[in-house]
Amino acid sequence: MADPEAYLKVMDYIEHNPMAALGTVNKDGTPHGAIVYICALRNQTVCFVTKNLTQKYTNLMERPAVSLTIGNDRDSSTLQISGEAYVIQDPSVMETVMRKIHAVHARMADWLPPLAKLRAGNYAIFGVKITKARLGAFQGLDIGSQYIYTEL
Amino acid sequence: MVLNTTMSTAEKYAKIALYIERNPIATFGTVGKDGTPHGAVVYVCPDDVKRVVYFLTKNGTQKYKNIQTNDAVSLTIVNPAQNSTLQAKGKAFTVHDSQALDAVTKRMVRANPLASEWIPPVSKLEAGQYVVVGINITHARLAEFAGMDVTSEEIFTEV
Repeated sequence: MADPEAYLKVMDYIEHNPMAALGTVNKDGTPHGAIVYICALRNQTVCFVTKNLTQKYTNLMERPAVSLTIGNDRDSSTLQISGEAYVIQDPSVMETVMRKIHAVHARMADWLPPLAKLRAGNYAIFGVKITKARLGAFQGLDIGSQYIYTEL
Repeated sequence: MVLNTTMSTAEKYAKIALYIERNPIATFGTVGKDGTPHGAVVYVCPDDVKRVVYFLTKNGTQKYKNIQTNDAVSLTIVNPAQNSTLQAKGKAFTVHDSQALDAVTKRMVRANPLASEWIPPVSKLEAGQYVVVGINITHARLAEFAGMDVTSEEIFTEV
């Protein structure tokens, strides 16, 4: 079980910075990056929505190891996550996630999320069980400071 | 305005390079020895003409170790305010040429005062010596969703 304080800090960071770069691996061993909106769930898990004809979907069905990376230049912080992805079938989770995504976009000038504009099949929802996370908060800290990182 | 679908390849690359210059914070994706993906945030600076993007790191970082065994990389950028993303892939290499190193370092120093804290995060890490890494871009896809209709062909600029 992760340190509860560190766990809450990482999940709170995700809530405030929901846009992440999802890293997957292609069949030929090359990396593939794509932007996704992630939502924190319980049990050290986050989730995101995609469509089933995207490259990331194909990769995840064959190779579930993922990275999730978030950067916030305003406060000079980053979050690096490693984990395993799996398909979530629960419709109530799907509804919760879609509601959160639409809440974010409803405040923007262009209210329709990017994913909705792509012709890429049917919606699919993935959970990511976090196996490792490292939050780096660099602002105001000295070189090599032990306070830069919070790790799970 | 020139439509994406009628642009030449050079014009498309120029548009993508300008996007990178205006959105220099990127996620650099690599693959580890065990075949798992690794992502790290980097400040990138594009060459205006050559299809190369540079960033500064240290030689003790995981991303630098990964590119020593697998030089295939991805670069992902998002601009939430403009509802746009860039997905690129390429081959990474260490820049040894002193003139190129000098030029890249100068550009990065000029770019960094724009950030809220001008010293880039990498400078605060005890992770070995500084190195400049270049990426030869083999494919890039800029997606601009703002104001576009569903499935519009004008969403993507691709080289």
